[in-house]
Amino acid sequence: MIIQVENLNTILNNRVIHKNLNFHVNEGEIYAIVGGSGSGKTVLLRELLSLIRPASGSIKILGFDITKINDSEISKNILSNIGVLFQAGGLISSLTVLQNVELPLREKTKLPRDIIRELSVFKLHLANYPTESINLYPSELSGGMIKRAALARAMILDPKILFLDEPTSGLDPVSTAKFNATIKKIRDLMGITVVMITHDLSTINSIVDRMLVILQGEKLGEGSVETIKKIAHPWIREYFQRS
Amino acid sequence: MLKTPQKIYCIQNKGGYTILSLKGHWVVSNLDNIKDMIKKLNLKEEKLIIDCSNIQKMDISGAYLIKKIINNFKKKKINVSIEGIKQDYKALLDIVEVDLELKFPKRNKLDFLQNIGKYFVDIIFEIICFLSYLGEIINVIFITILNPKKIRIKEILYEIEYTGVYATLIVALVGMLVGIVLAYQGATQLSRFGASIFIVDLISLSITREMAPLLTAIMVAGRSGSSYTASIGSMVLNQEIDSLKIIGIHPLELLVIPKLIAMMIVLPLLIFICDVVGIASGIYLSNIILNLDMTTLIVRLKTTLPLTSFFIGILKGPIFAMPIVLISCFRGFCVKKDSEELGINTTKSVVSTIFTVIIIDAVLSIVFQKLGV
Repeated sequence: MIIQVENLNTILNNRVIHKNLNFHVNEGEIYAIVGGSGSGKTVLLRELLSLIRPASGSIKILGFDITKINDSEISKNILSNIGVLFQAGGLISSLTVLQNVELPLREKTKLPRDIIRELSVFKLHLANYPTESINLYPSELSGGMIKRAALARAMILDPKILFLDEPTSGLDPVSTAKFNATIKKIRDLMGITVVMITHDLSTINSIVDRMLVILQGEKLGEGSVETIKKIAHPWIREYFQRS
Repeated sequence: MLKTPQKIYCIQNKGGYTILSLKGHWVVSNLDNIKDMIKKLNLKEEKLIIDCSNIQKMDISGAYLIKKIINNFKKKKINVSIEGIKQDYKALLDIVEVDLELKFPKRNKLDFLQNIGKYFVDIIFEIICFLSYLGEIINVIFITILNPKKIRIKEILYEIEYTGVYATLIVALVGMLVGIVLAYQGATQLSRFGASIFIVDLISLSITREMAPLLTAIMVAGRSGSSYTASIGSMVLNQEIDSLKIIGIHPLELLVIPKLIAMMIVLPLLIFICDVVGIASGIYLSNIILNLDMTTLIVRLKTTLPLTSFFIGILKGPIFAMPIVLISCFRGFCVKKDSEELGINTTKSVVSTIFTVIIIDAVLSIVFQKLGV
């Protein structure tokens, strides 16, 4: 188990966000977190990234309980092993795509510049980013290109866990299918664990191994896509009926 | 991430061939020494054996670099063989593609002359934009006057509270400090000529005519002008301006006109506060340092400060309000694509509003001088 969350409770601004949440993610799987709007998915992701701390409960990532250890230990043991693709991409607007992807390598390693450049181009290539657009600024990119560039940056340090926040939102079905294939290819190649928040049924049906369904802060179910489909709950039934 | 890079290679030259033993963690965080390795591998022999049996860990970046080295030597017609590699790592090596097309279009960089040209073209373009913006503002003002229901009282009140009420404290503080500075500076000079009582003239005239209007306008330009630019700029980036247009609300009518009206009401009031606090603190300080009687000072103030001087200062309020609001909002609308532009435009907004206020103040001084008031 690469991530294990136990009895997680979250309270933000006197509002209960999560009630007693329990789930785990196995190494090497593509894990989806699904839930209605406002059910606390993004807050959960921010907790897993240690951007906010829960009210109670434990979050174990790579064997470390991130609710107990301090910031420097988190940065040493956790942050260097995870990559994140934020919903809006989070690319830095004053840097070109290539510089954005190079940034983590420049900050965290002492690799020579030409090798940094080469590795970055390679990662962009893996993320299916068109190499001829490598010197564009983020404001000049389309939504799909931003996602691919951000994916390349998320995996530049070869993380053990890749977090994706709605990676296919705003993409057309063809691009979504391509993006899903890219994520699967990267998982198979690098053997990393992928945790994603998604609404996309095509993603869930094509590449997801296991998934967690939360509704209003409570767990509705966890397991393989097939087991989730069998749960007799009106929300889940309605959710899968759309396909 | 590992703090101390482990040794990742070992080179042995054996007559006729070289053995490169790779060991330890071939992961991206541990490859800082790779350049040294490539340098030391200056081969004269025609055979290289890469021994991979001691690799404990390998990620895709490590695999990429190993493959790259192999390919480079193969291109130099050196016979490379790999030995003792684990099945997983071999699969990884097989998958990575190294000979990517590394030719991509460079961004066109402008030379010196082109930069100068671009600079002036940009300035002319900006002036044209500003003129069309002014025209649109006048148009909106006429529409609002003809249709008084369009005046947004709620927004105006909000802006009055935000730019006026919350600024009183800092404006009063600035006024107080100016009064103190003038009293101190004036006291030493005037007492030398035995003309101490003229300290009242100095303080009251300079504060009401120049100091209070100018400093208040500068404070407000820095405080509210910058926030106008930033908020309108981020509204542009969030597509809020577009959605306002689609809903059928003229962005200038909602965002600029209430601010303009509020600022024209509020700035004279702030100048008045600055006047009062400045003169009071200056007079009080003259009382202390020049040992002048308080009654004398106040009587002198009454005879020396004409109402016209006071009103000239107050009148500068609405005049300064216009460039502050119009320029800072214009700068907000200039933001087009990213957050960096937002920062640049906020800076430009503060600089150009303050600069314009000072220019207008200078022009007004000359005008009032000629008019003899």
